[in-house]
Amino acid sequence: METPLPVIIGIRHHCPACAGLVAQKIRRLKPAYVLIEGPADFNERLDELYLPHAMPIAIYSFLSAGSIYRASWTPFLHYSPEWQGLLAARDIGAEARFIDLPAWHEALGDMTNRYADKFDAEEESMAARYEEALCRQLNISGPDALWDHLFENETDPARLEESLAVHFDCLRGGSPGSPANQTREAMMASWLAWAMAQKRGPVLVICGGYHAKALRERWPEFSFEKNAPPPCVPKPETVVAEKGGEDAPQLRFGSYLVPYSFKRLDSFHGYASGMPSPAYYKWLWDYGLEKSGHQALEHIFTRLRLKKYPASTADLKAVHAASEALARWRGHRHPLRSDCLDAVAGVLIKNALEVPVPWNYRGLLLPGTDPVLVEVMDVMAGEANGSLDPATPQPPLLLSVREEMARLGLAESAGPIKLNLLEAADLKRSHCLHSLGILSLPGLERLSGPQLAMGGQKTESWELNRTLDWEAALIEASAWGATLYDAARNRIEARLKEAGADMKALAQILNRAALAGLSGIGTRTLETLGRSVAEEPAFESFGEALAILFPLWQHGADLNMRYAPVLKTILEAAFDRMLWLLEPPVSLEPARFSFHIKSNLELCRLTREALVSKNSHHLDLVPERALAVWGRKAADPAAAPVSRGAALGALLSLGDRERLAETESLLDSLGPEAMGDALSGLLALGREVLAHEEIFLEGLDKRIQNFTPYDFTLAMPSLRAAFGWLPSLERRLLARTVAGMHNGSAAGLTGKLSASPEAIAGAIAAERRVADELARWGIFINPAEVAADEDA
Amino acid sequence: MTRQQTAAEKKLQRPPAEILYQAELEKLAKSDRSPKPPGWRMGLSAVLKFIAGDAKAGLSRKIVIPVNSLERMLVTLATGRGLLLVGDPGTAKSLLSELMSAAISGSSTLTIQGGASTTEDQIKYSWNYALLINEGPSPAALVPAPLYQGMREGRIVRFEEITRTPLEVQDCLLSMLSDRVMAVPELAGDNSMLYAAEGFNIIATANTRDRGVNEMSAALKRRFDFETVFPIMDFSQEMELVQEASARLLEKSGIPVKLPEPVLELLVTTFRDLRPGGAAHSGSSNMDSMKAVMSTAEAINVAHAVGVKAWFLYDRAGCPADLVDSIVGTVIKDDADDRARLKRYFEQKVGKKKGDHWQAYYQARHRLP
Repeated sequence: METPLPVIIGIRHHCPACAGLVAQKIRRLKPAYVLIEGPADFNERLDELYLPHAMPIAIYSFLSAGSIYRASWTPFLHYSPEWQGLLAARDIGAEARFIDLPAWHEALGDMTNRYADKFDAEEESMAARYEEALCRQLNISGPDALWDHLFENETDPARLEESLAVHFDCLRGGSPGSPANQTREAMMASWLAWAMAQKRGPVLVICGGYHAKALRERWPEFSFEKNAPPPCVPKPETVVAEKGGEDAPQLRFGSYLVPYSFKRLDSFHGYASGMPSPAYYKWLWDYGLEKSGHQALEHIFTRLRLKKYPASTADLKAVHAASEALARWRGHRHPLRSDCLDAVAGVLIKNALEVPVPWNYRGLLLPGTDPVLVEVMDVMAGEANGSLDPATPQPPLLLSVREEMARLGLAESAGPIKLNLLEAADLKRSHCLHSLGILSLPGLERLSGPQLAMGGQKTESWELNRTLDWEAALIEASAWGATLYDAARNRIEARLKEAGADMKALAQILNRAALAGLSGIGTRTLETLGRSVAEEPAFESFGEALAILFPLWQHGADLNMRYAPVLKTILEAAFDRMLWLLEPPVSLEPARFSFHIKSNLELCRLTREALVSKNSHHLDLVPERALAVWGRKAADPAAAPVSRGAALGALLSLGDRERLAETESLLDSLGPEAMGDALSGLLALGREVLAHEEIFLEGLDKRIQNFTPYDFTLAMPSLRAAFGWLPSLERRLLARTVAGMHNGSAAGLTGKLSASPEAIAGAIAAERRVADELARWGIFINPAEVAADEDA
Repeated sequence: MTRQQTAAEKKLQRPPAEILYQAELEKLAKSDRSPKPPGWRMGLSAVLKFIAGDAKAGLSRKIVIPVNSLERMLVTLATGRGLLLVGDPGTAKSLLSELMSAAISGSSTLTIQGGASTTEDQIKYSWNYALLINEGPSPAALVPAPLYQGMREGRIVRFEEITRTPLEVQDCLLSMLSDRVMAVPELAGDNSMLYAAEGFNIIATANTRDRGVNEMSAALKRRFDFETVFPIMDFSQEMELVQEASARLLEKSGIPVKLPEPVLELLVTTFRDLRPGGAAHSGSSNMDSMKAVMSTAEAINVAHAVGVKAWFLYDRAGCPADLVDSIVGTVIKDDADDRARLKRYFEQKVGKKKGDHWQAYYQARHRLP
């Protein structure tokens, strides 16, 4: 009797065609074992999956041990082949098993979504090249359209199975796979060998198509006795111990079910997570090929009309005709996703597009995408949210929160909780309460405390009320993580991503993170953060944000923020971006002057730090670039005076004393109003140098003396604003110096006047009239000199 | 691109597509068995193969464009709706419109050139005034303009730069696009209404740089399907195109050397970064992009200029410093803002890239004005 072969169905995750094939095959073949690519450590709890949940749901697996933190989701939708496999297995009484490595294994290290389409880098490029060549050959744009054309369109199951097998074999090619993939495939192959060795009947495997060929070739390598126990699932203690032998502070690991949502699954919203447009494929699954296009168009038009975009009946007719025409031409019996989307783009877009249509590329929507297309992609992505059956065991977050609060003595408290942030124990309590706040738990209110993490105030007071929905909120929050701090950190990361390029929002989010003592942000978030900061369009937005973030970088040791990588990324990206934005001459409204100056101040601080600091945590900046930009700015006559002044002030304060001459020439070249603005910049940035520089003050004094009364009235508001940048002590010292130049005293400037101001003003006006009249007769006197003579 | 030079064509400075690719079109029309939309010379797939190329059938690729974009355009035309191609200058919209009309109707010469002085006469019809006065209005006295001819014979009419024509003149197209009928009130009887024959359609082009489509009336917009033609998205495809085209131009100028690949990389990358919409690649915002048109066609010109200058003045192949000179000369006309942007790009972005050729490029920045 020949040894039967296992039936290995390579699938693409969350693909309706594959799901249908899998279900049908299982029901026809009636295997004894249905082996599914999924976390093997969940096998003991498969029954939880069979509870009547509302899809989509996911298995969340995590491991946290001090600095090592790994988490990944394994999502399931109605039309996931894995899900259909599980249901069909239960129906025919087969044994269903997950056979992949658990999420905490290194091999799944960086993967947050087990069922993502992303391969490792080099495999990805090989697979991408194959798909590109196929697209070119078949004249199809984009891998998603290619998939639909080849597989969703195919109704004959035998042909579908064959095409899938051929496609995945070609995609894999002869590549042995990355080490991570090889480890996973070894695990899966050993499970397959075990199931075959039991000789209880046919064995069916559902795995990602990329692994199918490897599994087929590798399962004979493993041999098991007939009644041997199944392959052992590696335990995390062993894994972590292998890594370095140090005892991990607190090893926590586990898997549990969480609700999931279409939005998180759609590759345009989440990380590259596989099949795009979950709502569309749900319609395809529910209604079949004939009606899915119709459903899509109906939903799209309903949404566009709701949002008041023009979408008339004539347009609907045209879109319908175009989608049918495209479908027929491309050889689809009924319109598929790409046909519907192309038809919509053709008919409903009545503008020039700035960026290409979203379904031609994978990943997040590019900024500048036409708003109609954004709505369309949103409709196709859908808004369904899953929920778990109430009988599902509670996720560990509740327990973790309860334990943490008990440990810190926060369990049940009557009345407000007062904390002194200078005491270590109270600081920990503050972190815990802030983390709960980040998870938006109800009943928690901070009554008083510092706004900024680096703020001076060191006492906080909170009020904590256990409300009825406390537990429900915690269950929902458990989708973010299994322990309090992990969940809070994930939430922070998600908020950082949402904030995008908004510097103010970023600073506030990081401030909250600092208040909660959370500094470890994942590397992927760091990359997106860097890119977002690089898109900030206004120079002035950086000032306030950096005023919060830079001190955290330098001095936030208590808050675990000192030299934190997330701050490093942001500060470096901000430095780059600020220099780029500073260079062109832009006109500024007076309302923006103070923001502009603040941003320059922060830039100056960063440059000083880069020039001076020699420790290993230094920021990777090139300060000479800033100096060059400021130099060019100061010399540019088209730049705003406040900008030029600020540039010169920055250069002076960083030690370039030769710029003093340039300062003089700048002030000379400007009219009275502009001079005040330039002075604002100079004093705000260069006051340590300028406020004591006699020559500068004398020159300034002379210029102001030479103002006509009219000029002085023009210049006064900006001059007052300029001197407002000096702290009061320095202002007093400056006043004393200036008064000294005129042989007076500073006290005299603020002393009581000998007569009423109106009388003095009248007298001055009268003297001026006399001087003018004398001047007409050829006698020139300067009333100020006359007054000085009299005083003397 | 294959060039089939006939005796007649050798005299033409720029033969139209239907003459240039006559052999290809005839072969396609004869061998095409797929169903043809009414009035078309060949089916949709044949037109697609003609434009996008088909290695097996020996058809060269005429233009670099995503396939589904082309499919949308052809379906629009096949379903009888007007097509409006929009995009930045230099993205080959006119070339595309020419190729499509040559393939579909066999001629690309029914063209209306839009401009501020375009009048209805140049669009619909005008009169032979001598005959008109002598004999009164008659079909013989009518001088048909492209739109009249297209409707009468069932051919594609091309309307270049539609947004540059005055709005009132644009709106004369409204009834013809929806009802497919042109009224000639001066004539009587059957001649007073010209009904469009099968195969009539209109392909318009519009630049987003000039007035753009913002001022087009909503009624007219509704009668067109818009399709945006983008500059080449893929870096390697654009490199290939620039390399090939500049090599051909250099050969025609009698220069035996090609531009070295590092210099081409510098050229294409600079153009892509400074192009509006190049924002997505280089991480700057749209305000950082140049007013000057940084199209692929310009890049080819610059490459040609670099090669010519280096060879005739210095007897060598091009180098990064030559590139700086040529970019300034050919692209940055006299806009001070553009000069400042280019300078800023050099100071802040070029210096950070890795590679000897980038550093040489950075060092040559003093040649910027």
